[in-house]
Amino acid sequence: MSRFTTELRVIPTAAWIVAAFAYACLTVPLFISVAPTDRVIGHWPRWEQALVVYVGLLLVAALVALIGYVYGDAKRRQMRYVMWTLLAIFIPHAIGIILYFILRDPLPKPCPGCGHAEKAQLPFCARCGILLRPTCPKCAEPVEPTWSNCAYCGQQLAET
Amino acid sequence: MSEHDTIRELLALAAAGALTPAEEQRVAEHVRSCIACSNELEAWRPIARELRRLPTPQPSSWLVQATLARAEATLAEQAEQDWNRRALIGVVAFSWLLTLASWAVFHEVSERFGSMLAPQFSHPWIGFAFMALEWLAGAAAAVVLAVHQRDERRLA
Repeated sequence: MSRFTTELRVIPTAAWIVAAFAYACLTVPLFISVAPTDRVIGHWPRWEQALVVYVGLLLVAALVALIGYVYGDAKRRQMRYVMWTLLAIFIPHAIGIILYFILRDPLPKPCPGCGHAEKAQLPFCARCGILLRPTCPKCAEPVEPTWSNCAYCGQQLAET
Repeated sequence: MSEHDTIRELLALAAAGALTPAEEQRVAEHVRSCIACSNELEAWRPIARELRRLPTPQPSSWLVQATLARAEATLAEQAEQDWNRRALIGVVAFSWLLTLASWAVFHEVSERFGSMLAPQFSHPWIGFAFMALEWLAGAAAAVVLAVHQRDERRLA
């Protein structure tokens, strides 16, 4: 399964339903009543009007799906998903979604002890208390497995 | 550099058996006709033999596991960064498409309903100002959110 397909599964079913509903509710009336009377596209053949309306409004469906993605992904990353969803909805031109992609946290890693997903930067599992990242015995700052000395306090780290 | 000097630099490697077949052949041919190089090669051979007898240092299991974990984490991080970059490019392109489409929608709406609100509503500069304000609001939101997130990470 490609990464794109995996990411599509993050979008909740409700978001797909809302996207389909919004698409249907906008395209049908626009094609039937607005497009034929429009000053510009009203003179075009009907198939061209259909193309403009049905393809153009795919943007709206995509926007709703993207808002759904922000909701699902922020929840998955243990971020403030309500705040990010509202920002994605209310900041126009999808700028809220761009901001989300720039500022989102890394994916949580599953705890090797209990399997509970924890934020990548946390040193201990909040559920079972297992050590997720090695910490310095002196200053308790997270250290990298390859370090010989703590980069924060200089403490020599045991190679056990 | 003469052939003699080049071969002399290869003698230690020849004694250690670290040369390619072509280089070995070249050294052997030179050594047959050069006594100095032949003696030096013979001097290197016992050193190389003794070095081979020394035990090869083995990394501790801790170091192997830590290095593997580090390599896996780095690869996963790189894959995530690549995906983020591609997704961001896609979202920015989508945002521009949305902006262009909204310009057409704005025209359509202002032509049909603009006169109900105000006669000037359909003026193009209002559309530009509206869009500039939107992007400005987005930029302000970006700054506020970035500062907020930096503070949150510092506290974590």
